[in-house]
Amino acid sequence: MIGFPNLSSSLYHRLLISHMQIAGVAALLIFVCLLMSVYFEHSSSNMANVRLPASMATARVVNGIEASNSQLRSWVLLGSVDRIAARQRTWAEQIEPAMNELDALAADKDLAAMAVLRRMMEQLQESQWWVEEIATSAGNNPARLIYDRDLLPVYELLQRSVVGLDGDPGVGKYNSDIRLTTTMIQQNLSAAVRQLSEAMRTGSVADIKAFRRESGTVQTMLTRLSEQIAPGDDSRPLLAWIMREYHFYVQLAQQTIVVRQADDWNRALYILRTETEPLASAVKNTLGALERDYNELLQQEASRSALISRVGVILTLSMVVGLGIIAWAVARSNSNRLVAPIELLARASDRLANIEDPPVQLPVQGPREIAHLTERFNYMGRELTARTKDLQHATRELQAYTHIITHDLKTPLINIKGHAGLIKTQLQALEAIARDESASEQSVRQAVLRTVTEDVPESVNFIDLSITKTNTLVGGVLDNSRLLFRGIALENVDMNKLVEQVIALFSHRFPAVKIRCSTLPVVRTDPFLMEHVFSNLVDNALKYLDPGRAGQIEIRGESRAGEAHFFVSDNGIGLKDTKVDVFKLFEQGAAGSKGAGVGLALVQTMLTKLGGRIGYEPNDEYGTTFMFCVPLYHERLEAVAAGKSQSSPEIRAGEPVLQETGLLN
Amino acid sequence: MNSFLSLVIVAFCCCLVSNPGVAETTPTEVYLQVLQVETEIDLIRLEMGVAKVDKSEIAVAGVQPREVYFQALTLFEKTNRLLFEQLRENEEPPNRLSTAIAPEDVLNIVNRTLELLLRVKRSFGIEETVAVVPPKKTQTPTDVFQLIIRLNRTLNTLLQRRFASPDVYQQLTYGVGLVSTILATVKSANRLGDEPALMRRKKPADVYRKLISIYTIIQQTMMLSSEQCMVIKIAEDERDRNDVTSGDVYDLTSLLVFELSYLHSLVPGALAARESYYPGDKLPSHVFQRAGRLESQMKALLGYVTTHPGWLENK
Repeated sequence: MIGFPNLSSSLYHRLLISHMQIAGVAALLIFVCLLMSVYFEHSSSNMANVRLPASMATARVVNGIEASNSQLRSWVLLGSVDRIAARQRTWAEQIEPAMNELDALAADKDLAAMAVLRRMMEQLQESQWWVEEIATSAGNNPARLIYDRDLLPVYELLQRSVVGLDGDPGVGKYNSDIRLTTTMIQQNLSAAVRQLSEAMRTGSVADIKAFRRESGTVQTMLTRLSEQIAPGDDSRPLLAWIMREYHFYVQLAQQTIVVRQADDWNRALYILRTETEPLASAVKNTLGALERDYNELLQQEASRSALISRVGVILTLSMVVGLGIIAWAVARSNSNRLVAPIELLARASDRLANIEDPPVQLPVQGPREIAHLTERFNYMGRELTARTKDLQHATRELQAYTHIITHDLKTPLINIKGHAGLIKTQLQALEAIARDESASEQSVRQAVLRTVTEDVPESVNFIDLSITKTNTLVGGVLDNSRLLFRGIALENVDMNKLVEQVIALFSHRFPAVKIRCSTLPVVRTDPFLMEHVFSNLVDNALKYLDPGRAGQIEIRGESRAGEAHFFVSDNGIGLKDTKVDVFKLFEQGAAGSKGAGVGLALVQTMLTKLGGRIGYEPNDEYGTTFMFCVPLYHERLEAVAAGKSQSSPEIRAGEPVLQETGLLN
Repeated sequence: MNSFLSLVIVAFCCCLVSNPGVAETTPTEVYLQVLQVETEIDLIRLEMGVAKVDKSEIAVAGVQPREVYFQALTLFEKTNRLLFEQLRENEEPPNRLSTAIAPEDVLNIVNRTLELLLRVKRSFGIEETVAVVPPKKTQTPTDVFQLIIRLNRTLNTLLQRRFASPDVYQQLTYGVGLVSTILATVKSANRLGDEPALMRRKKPADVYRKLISIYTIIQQTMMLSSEQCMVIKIAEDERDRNDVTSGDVYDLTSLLVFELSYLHSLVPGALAARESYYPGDKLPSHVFQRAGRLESQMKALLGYVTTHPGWLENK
């Protein structure tokens, strides 16, 4: 599994932020969709669980009221007894449950309306009960009540009285006219009662007129009967009573007709029409308002949902496009910010590959990783450039070295070859003389003697010198080579002691030379190499002392800017030819030099290895002062000494360490 | 001549009532006038050949003028029916007063009743008069009440169509309407109460006892409402008597309904009660059932008044 690098890595953060931005855009989109879904769910739930049931409940209540009123009217008009039970069932099974459901679903703002509705429903139920109650009572029809309770007894009494008149013991004295009249009275009275009963049933004016016609006939017949019966007849009081009762009868009939003609002749129907139905209508209106309210809310909810849906679709599409553009821009920006430095690095790498181009120093910017990479790239570029220079320098040095070696080694070899050839020539000449029979023995002897004593020894001497020089040159090369590849062992070196030992060594050999040394600093360096540096410089000073003066050598040192600076001055002959690079191998500062041109080259090699540098300048009066410096403490050297780095600072030219510590400035 | 004398007495009494300068009518004066009515009823009864009613009186106490007034109205109603049966004539019933009833209001009703009786008496051709002996002691409304109750019983026996179960049923239905409108002001649900199932073979005495229990509830309600109310005392041995007629039940029902009417008049905002109609044939069992509904309503009202004793004050 590949893990992310260090979490504090800025590139990681940038990548993370970039991904999170894309994910955030997607999450925002999903969140918006989720919000809309939640709203739709809530709205649908509200519509399904509240609005629609409430609307349906109000519809059920309205239908129930319609049904109950219809059932009540059926009972009142048709007398269908089963309608009573049906009405009660409608209330118990339809209206009450729907009302309870409405109560449960009513919002706070509907509670007052529900309370009013409840009261109205109670009134309606009570009103229906009263209508039902009245409809079952005889008094529901007051006209019929008067007719049955008051008028019919009078009628029956009248009939019996008229029959009694007809059946009077003195009937025999009545003629047929009186009999006919009483019979007609009975018939017309019966007809009148039937017409009145019909008028009660229908309420029709024609029936009432028919009754009045019949009752008028009865009145006429009674008047005729009164005329037919003699004034002193025994039946006159009965007739008078009959006429008085008939008068009551007509009054009662008239009262009955008046009541029947009144609007409320059927009290149940009247109450139903004037009270129950308007009340039911009011309840339905209230319910209708409530239902309209619920329907309106339902419609608003649906409209809002549709609007939200449309807006949501548009918003989602817009967000998809907009956020896609934003995501693309963000991704592009992030990619550019990430890729641009890398591309710059790639181009810089191309330039770096071409050693002819000047080294590139990229601006350190961008994400931390990129900045760090750029910094390391710059460092690598510098290192590469420096090492390239070092390499070029080393190559040039190697070429020079080779040239020096070939040249300097060639010279003695040529001498050796020349003298060897000379010896060969001289020996051939000697052999020729010896073989010349004509030559005299003396001349031969002189020739041999000259060859053996003069020519050959001289050549042999030259050959010996050349070999010695070659040997010296090879030794110097070997020493230099050993120093180049020797490891470094750093320690805190008290330079006073080290120099004291060197001085002691030379004082023994050159007791006449005065070597002085001031206080020197403690340096963390390689004591072996440092001793060689001082030995070579002191040896070099001793070699070139002026025989005309007492030799003096002075060694000084100081710490400055993180470096230890040392000075070795002498009052010797000094460097005559300042154009000569005395630190170059086999270069010599003066003709007839006593050295082989190896010592100072070794010194420079050792100081370079120790991260230092060297120079010289002639003194004002006599001699020369060699100056060199080494770092008091060098981190890189520590790493090299510890074997942690493959780099060896001694081969670098203008290396960063020296730049950083200001050695070269 | 005797009729003329009676008319003079009636006219005199009317003058007493209508003359503001005269002192207020006392229960004794009313009692005296009711005695006159009793005298005339007895004459008519004798003429009609009807036996005297011999029943023990209902023991009541603390009768208020309004309760005497209510019974006087019943007396007028029965007399009016007697008038119709005998003369085929009807008189408009007096307007019912519900509040601030004084003995003179009772006296007015009694005088009108006496007038109707005299017309009946004339129709029978009765010329005798009986002088009324003024009572020796001061009479109370309770005395007047008990006397009117007795007259009502007698009058019921004189009618061809007596006050029976249908009339009681009609009155009770009116009472249901009254309590319903009262309950409408204090509770919204089930104002009509619960009607018990029909129980067969009930007698007027059963209804009578049921009405007394209802009256007890009314009495408790009135007392809780700080209103005076008559107390009906029935001995334990009288509770099981079976000689109660429908006429007796009607009288008690009328009293009960009038009490309810009075209570109704005390409740501001109560709608007018519905008119009740003659129900046709009804058995005492039907009346008992309807009385059960009224009892259910009254219990509900009593339950409310028990928890809200100041319910009339708050209205």
